[in-house]
Amino acid sequence: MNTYLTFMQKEIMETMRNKRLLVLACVFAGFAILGPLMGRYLVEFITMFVPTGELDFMEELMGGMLPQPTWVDGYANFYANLAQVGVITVMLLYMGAVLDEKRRGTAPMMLMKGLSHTTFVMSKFTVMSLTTLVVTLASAPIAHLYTYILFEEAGNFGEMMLGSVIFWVFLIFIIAMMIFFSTVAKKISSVAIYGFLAYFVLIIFDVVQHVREFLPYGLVTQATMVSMGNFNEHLLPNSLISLGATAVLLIASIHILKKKEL
Amino acid sequence: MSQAFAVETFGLTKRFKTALAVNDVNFSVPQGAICGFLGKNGAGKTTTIKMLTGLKKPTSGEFAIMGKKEAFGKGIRQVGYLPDVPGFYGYMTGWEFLDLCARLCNMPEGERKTHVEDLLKQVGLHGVKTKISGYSRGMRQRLGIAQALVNSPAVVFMDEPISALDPMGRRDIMEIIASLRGKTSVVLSTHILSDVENICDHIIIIEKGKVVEQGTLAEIKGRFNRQDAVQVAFYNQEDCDTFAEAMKGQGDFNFTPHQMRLTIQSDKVSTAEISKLTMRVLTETDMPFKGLNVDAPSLDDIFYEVTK
Ligand SMILES: Nc1ncnc2c1ncn2[C@@H]1O[C@H](COP(=O)(O)OP(=O)(O)OP(=O)(O)O)[C@@H](O)[C@H]1O
Ligand SMILES: [Mg+2]
Repeated sequence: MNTYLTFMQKEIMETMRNKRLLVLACVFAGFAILGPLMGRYLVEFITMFVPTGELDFMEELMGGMLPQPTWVDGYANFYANLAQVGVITVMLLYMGAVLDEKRRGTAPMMLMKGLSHTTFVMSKFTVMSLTTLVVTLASAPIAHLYTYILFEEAGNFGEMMLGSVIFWVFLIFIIAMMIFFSTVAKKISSVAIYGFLAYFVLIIFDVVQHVREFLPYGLVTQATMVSMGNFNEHLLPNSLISLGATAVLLIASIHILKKKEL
Repeated sequence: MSQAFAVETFGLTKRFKTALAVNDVNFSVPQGAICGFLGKNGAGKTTTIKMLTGLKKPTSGEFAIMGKKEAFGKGIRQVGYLPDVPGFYGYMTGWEFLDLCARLCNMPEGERKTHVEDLLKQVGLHGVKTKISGYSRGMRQRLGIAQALVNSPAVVFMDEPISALDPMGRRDIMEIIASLRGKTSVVLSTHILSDVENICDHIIIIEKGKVVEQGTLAEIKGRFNRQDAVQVAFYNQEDCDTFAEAMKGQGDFNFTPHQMRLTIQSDKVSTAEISKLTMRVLTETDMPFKGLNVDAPSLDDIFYEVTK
């Protein structure tokens, strides 16, 4: 317990001094503003730049008038952006989590001082999770407020916060995944490749109904829905599956790290 | 397995895909000794040390630290380790890094502060406020030594602790290592043989993954069958040859001329006797000479001989 707290302090210091928190905060807060903004003005933006003839064609294609955006689009855009740029930022920031320490030789140095492999991995995971929780919880009210300003209407604040927590459950799966790849791989470029491949696989399966509900990425849809006040029966199993996968990835990482030559 | 040994290996072997780095190595380091671990580049020093610190898995063989069999991945608490290229958290100061190490070793709060300060003073980094990312190589090596000693380990492995240091730093670090004598057993790999001769009481030489020589410096020198010799250096080859001729008449000596320098040796006559004769012949022939010395086989000579 003692070494767990000590190593968590080191991880917090690293997050602050290497400006990871700052980067995450900027990205998340940025999209809390940009998301609703795009939701509000994207249609008008298109109308402005597309010649009238083609606009008619587009309207015809979509079966009638281009829809008037509502506050729902503000929320949806916020989550859609976070699921892309936000997740990729998290992946980039954390892909060196274990590998950097292995290559620099700090991992063996710390482990030889009596730090256990489990504590090493878990304190990293804890601090990374808490960091993303903070930025997620901070950006949701911004998105909520900004949506309200733009549409003069927004969803229930409590539901929006709950939605953001569900999104975070997806984020900690991504973190565990990056820790796992970072433990397995020998090169940072491999971590990046594995990470992006996994991410694309998740996205590809997300379009398949009945599969989507069982994959962590499905939580992005769930988070959006919950924020809009729509709860469905897949929410709980979907969250549990994601949490289970997170646990499996962490246990596997610890196990593999123990067997690795450092 | 004896309690008298700080480190003992039994047929320790490490085979990489492409190389047999350490090949059936058996050696022992007495407790409290400062042991020089020597070998050419690629001889297998780093690989051996990494196995003994539990960081690399031996292909076969075993080892014991302080009389206790240890194994890969167990986290050997009694050892300190300075890697050949030590890495740190660049965003910390030296003080913060050592404090982290001390806390991970579960050192109580009260003790910790003074201990960390003492270590920093010892390695000459006290009062340095720069973050580690701004450290020079020598400063990193000093911090590396401090972290290896932080838990007051029974055995410390140092992989080339002085390779990046200036002459003063080298002397400082050698003094620190010498001060550990009797309390902590030290295994240090280095290429600077004069330092080894000065402070090591035990020496292991490995070549191509095999131990080729081990023991105290005296033991090794005793086994090494080149005796002391008298060396005279001249200003020109002519003088050198004339002198050699003159000496030949004085007794049964072996002469090894080498670039205006003559090495005189004998199995029958003592070195002391040869030196007296040399002086006499030099005076009689009224020969100018550049240098005159009695040359004992140095660790350098032994090293070249056994790793040939
Ligand atoms: N990870 C590895 N994979 C393959 N071969 C390796 C690996 N590490 C070391 N070797 C090989 O093992 C041999 C011993 O290497 P080692 O680093 O132990 O030498 P060393 O005695 O420490 O040399 P130096 O004085 O240059 O530090 C070398 O031939 C090296 O190429
Ligand atoms: Mg080496």
